[in-house]
Amino acid sequence: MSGKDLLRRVTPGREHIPIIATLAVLVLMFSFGAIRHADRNFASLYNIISLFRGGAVIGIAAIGSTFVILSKGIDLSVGAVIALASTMTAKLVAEEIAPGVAGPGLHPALVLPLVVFLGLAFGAAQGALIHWFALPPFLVTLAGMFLARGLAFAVHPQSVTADHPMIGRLQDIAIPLGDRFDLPLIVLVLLASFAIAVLAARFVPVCRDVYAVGGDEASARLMGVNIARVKIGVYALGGVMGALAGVVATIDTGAGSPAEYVGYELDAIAAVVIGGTLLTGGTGFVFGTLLGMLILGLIRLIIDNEGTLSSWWTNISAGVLLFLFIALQSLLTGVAGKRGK
Amino acid sequence: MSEPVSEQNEVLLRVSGVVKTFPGVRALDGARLTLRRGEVHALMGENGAGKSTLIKVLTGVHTPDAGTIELDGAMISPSSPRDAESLGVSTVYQEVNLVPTLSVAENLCLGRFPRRFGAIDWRNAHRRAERALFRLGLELSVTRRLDEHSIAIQQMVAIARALDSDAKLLILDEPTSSLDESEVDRLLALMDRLRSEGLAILFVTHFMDQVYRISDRITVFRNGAFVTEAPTAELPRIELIGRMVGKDPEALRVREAEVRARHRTRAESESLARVEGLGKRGRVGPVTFEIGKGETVGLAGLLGSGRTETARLMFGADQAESGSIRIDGDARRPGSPREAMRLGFAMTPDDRKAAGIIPTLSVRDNIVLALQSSKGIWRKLSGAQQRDLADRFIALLNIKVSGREQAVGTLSGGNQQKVLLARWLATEPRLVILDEPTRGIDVGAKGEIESLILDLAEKGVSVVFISAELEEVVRVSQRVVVLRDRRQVGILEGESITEHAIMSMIARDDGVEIDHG
Repeated sequence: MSGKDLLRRVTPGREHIPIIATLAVLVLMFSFGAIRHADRNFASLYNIISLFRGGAVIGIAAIGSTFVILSKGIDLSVGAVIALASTMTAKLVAEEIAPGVAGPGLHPALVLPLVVFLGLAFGAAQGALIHWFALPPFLVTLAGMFLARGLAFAVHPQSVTADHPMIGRLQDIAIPLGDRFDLPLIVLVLLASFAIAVLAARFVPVCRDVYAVGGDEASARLMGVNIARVKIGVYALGGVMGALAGVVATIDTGAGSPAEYVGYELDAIAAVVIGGTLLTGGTGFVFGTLLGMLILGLIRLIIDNEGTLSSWWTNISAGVLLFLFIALQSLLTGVAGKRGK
Repeated sequence: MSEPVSEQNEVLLRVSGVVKTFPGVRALDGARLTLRRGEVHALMGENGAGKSTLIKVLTGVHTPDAGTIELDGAMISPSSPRDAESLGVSTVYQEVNLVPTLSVAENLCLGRFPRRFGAIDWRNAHRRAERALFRLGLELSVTRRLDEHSIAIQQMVAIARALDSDAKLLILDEPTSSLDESEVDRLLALMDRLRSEGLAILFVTHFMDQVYRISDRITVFRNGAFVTEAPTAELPRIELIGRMVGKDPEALRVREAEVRARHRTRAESESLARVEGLGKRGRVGPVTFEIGKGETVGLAGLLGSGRTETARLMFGADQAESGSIRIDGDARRPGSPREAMRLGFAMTPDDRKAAGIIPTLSVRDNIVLALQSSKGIWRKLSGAQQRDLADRFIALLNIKVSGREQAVGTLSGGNQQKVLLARWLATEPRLVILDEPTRGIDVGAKGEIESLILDLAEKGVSVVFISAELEEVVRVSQRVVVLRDRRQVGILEGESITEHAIMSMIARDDGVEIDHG
């Protein structure tokens, strides 16, 4: 490899700018917190693990949202799907739903795959509506959001404890880090999911089709891409990741609730966008979504550490940050559009 | 032009008797086309000639109702673009049909990635992409996004992709429309190179010069039917144009003598405006002409010659990059339709459905629209004023409606056009730009639109008139700006305006340099 080739290989292209900006913001914020709250041991392993643990449900779901957004779609049903999945999981495994009321008590080894499969079916159905009936994703997944939320309440009207011995055992799964901390199951699922998704996005041909469809659907069709497979596939993946997030959340908290996880779809979208994926489709990286998730968590952590600031500052900061990222994106796509002409 | 391809070159493609009917339209009516290996074959025709329908039949987008396609000795009936590609028919369209957000290499490999252990082998993909481009004499960074490269390069990447699948026939559909001159040179050189490798190229374009520079043979279609096929060297430009528009140049010369006899005598009028070197790179220009008060200026040229583009620059619908319009002693360059409206301009666009008429609103609403918007939202026209205005124009333009509240979408094409015209006349413009006002309306309505233009002129309103039908331009214009290949090639005035004169001006080989002022 010549020097010029090497240089070209390590020089980031324009498509890398958003994710580099994201990484810079993450590093800056973390350094800020670490310096400002050095007395509170901000940069501790505990804080870092809790960043991952706190963001895991959103992060896992956001992997699905990333592919949906890469295909130029949007999925608003995610939060409701998480709630539905968690309620179903908890109810189906519960040996006792309320004092003295016996539950189905099904084995998690049966329930977990079942719930994830239902998530897949739910997402695929949304994708099929969007593709075959040419309906706008916004509306279809909005309807899906109401439907899933309603179904969650139909499954069980209140929070239900996942009362099954196997759940307890699953909660004990963890990889020890040092002698005081460990990575719980939910973080392991998060990291594994991201690892698979990052590699798939780069090396699995059908994932490149997602980028192609998001970049220019008409062209992609003429280039022989199977549009139906891509479009139905991304929403199916959205359903799977939503359900998976619901399942691991139930294991982690030991309960499922139809009223929880409201607005998680928006957090997921925020993580995707902050992570540098363009809402215009076709451009972005799955890894950026993980960074986006961490940034959202960091905002909360810093505000908490400030002590004097109220919690709404979390949302204000997230809002401001989102604005900045959208502005950056439109600047970049604007430049791209001009050059293309 | 390279050495002409001889008749004995092996025939690759033979299309015969192809018919394709759409509801209400016979888009192809016995289409015929013969392509030989190693030739560049130009397919020419005006609007509605059936060029794009034929391409869509060849690429499997449409299934023909009748007729046969023979490729390389075998009958084929492609069922999809992909199917056509696998048969050896690849197409590159005017709009680059690649994904701008993907890398060059990915655009070349999408759908056929080299793999290792099931995963995409990127190193191999990049190497393959570089090789495919190298074959076309291109060296570029294949890992960069496609939209970081110029349109010309993108076009060539599209060709590289098309050739990657063992193409025997390459269809280039208006490939040069968005290219500048040096880019066109590059593309033509590439076509020459591919031709010498034995590929057959079907070149669909409306650029006369390029046809004569590169093509070996020409086939002309008109109204969906085959008109002629001839070696390029044996078909003079004037003949070609005559066949495209369906006029025999010689017969015209005779008839026009009569027309001229009763042609208007042009009253010397004072100037309203002077268009000075108006132009935009890649679109049209520079264009320079005078518009007198109450004068009708025709813009004539073949499809794609820059007629509509000129109109849009004048009205600020597109922003001119050079030149200006001298009016009221100032040099202006309208930056938006609003500015043009303030100068007293009005324009009816060529596609009235897409860019003018709001079909679900009433005739009255459609008529008051422009006047209301020029007054601003705070000075609302009263109901009575609106009704007066609508009734006045319905009577004036003889718009056939059941009442002023009828929805415009339910009117005939000619009447819709009149409503559109009424909308602009209501603003009392000094200059009305009419882009193809007679397209797609019946003969009677055409006559009415024409006489309306003459009425306007009498009232002192200047008109810029665009029509694909030269007769119409000749009938109504006192001055005709002739355009070819997006340049002005000349101006005709008064008596000298004849169809034959326009056609020979378009055909003139050396017309490029003349008459910019």
